[in-house]
Amino acid sequence: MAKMESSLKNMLLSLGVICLVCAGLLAIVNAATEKKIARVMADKTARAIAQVVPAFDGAPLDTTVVLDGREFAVHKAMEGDSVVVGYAIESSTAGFGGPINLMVGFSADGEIYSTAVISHSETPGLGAKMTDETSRFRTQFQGMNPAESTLAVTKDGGDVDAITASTITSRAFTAAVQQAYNVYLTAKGEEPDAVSAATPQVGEGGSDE
Amino acid sequence: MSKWDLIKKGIIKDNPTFVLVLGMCPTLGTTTSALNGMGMGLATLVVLTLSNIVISAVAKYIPDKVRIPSYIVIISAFVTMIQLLMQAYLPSLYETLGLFIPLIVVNCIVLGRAEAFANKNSVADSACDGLGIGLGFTLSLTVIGLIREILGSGSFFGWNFLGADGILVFVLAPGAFLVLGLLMALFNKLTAGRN
Repeated sequence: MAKMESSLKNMLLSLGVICLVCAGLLAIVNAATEKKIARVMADKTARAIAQVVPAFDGAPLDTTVVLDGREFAVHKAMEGDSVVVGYAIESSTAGFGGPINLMVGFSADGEIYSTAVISHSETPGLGAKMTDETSRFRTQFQGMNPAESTLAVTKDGGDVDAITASTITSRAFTAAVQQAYNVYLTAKGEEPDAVSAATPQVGEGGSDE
Repeated sequence: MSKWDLIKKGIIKDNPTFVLVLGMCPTLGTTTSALNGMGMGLATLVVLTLSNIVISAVAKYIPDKVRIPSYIVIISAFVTMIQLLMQAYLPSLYETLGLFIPLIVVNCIVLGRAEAFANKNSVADSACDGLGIGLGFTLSLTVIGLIREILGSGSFFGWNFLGADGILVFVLAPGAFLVLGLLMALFNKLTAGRN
């Protein structure tokens, strides 16, 4: 059969039909995967929460806190109906390769219980080492009390040992933890820690990482 | 040309990475490890085969002047479907490849095969061509990823045999160019006498 002639009618018709069929198929696939994708995302958040707060009963209580015009998700881990055993707070800062999204957990007395990386785009082999939960960089946050320690890398006069050759990533990670701490204080109804609240200059210099 | 020859042609004589040098962006970007390279290759293989089949089937109903937009709509529909399905059923792979999946739409290999092969050949031949080129792409990306992973992170398909870090530059962008260039030279040396 000969090719269709490129007349206006033929062009409109063929493009129109192709677009309609494709749109229809996409709508079907979207409807079929929508719930599953939402569940995958929810599971991921739930796993991250369970990882960063002490053991708790039932489902965490999800709230949001607005700080400096940004909205942060705060998940309260409850034991029974009234005792709060921990707070899991989602925070994010700009890393070396893109945003770093963390889940930072605080126990009821204000200590960092643990941290989890939700998503990041750091360089594999360098900044991406921050995802290794057993590394010295990650374990140093556990049990740290931001009220007593300065959340900044040692290069900037703080108490956090940076990952070798990944200072920008380490700074961004530490800033995200500080941000979560500020949210935690707001969530508990206290004033943010003004001294160390200043966000370190991420991305400056550029000589390292 | 038999079906088997069509598939073999995509892997060796028309290898998209080492011979046609198409789709360099995902090739350089995703091959930080063997598994990432393989995942990207397989996602492209699926899209390429499906789009080749559909385009060869509908090519004669598409007027010449609007063929490129038509192909792009078909290809992007498949890519979006794959993206949604991956997000739902392979979330961990989706996370690593994330950004590169939507970019399959503009991968020159897919549009290139639609234009150079699928729109003038039968459905079965186009399917074999897509499969062959897709396999060629997957194999190339896996090999590049594997070499970068062994040298750069001291691991083999995610299994760390070195217990330490490798030569960092191979995980970074310059390492991608180095490995790609050397492999391209080797591939062309090995296949030189064949055609």
